[in-house]
Amino acid sequence: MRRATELFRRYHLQVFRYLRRCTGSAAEAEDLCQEVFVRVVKALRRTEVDDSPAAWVFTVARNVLLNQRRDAGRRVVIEALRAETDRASRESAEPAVRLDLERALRTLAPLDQDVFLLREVGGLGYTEIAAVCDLTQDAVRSRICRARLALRSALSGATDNPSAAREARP
Amino acid sequence: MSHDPMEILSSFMDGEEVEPAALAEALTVSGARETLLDFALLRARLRDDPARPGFEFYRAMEPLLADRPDRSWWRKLVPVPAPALAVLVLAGMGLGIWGGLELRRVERTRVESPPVPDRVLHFEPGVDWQSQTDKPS
Repeated sequence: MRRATELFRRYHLQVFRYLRRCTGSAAEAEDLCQEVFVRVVKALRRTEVDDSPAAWVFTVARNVLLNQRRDAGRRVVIEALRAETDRASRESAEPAVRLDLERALRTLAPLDQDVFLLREVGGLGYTEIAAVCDLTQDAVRSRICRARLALRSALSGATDNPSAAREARP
Repeated sequence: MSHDPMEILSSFMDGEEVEPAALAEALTVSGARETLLDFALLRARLRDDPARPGFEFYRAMEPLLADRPDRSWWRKLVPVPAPALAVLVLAGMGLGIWGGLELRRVERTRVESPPVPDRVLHFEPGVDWQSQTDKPS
């Protein structure tokens, strides 16, 4: 049980933030994150995890996410984005800028988004991401680059105000 | 290894191995500096994320992660390798045989030595008993 606690302490925030970026909903991310660590605890009763615990935890997280996507479809993401949009416009000091980043992430292909967020939010290396997503390292490299260029393009076109263009860009 | 300048800059951003010559060439491409800066700014924006799960999440996780007594103690015996188990069994047998031999030795020793007296009677000569030579004629 200490191993599970240690993994939870080390990775739960990264897993939560990864799931929140993927789903667009903090409430959804909490439910999924809880599911992830329930599975982690159960798995640790049967087996040991020594090699790359980060990759293992995020593999569980991604499987939970894929199950959720399969069950709910993209409808959940769209509804969550609408809810986040309402909340962001009420609460955020820079609603337009922050909203653009979330919206831009939604324009990515699901696998590109997963790979990119595993890198930027999860902090995984290319080898670990390749193991989690069942890709080659070259595929991971090209998808991350493609995601960065797509986000850069989406964010630079987010505003027509030249003086704010630099602020709106990533 | 990719030769695409953007991929090289992206990989370099991630601390992945890149050939120095390829990196030098990628940096000479028009807009490379701005691209690298934009990648860095994007990363900073994404990582500047104060979002945390709520209190209910942690309360729900607490019983799941709490230490519980291990009910499956017998499972710990399973991975003990066979040779180690054989050594343990033989050691146990040896202990039993030695114990039996030791018990028999103790019993033999006890039979051969005289029993300890329950009570001792003291007789003083001339008081409790008299010799023939002491009797009055």
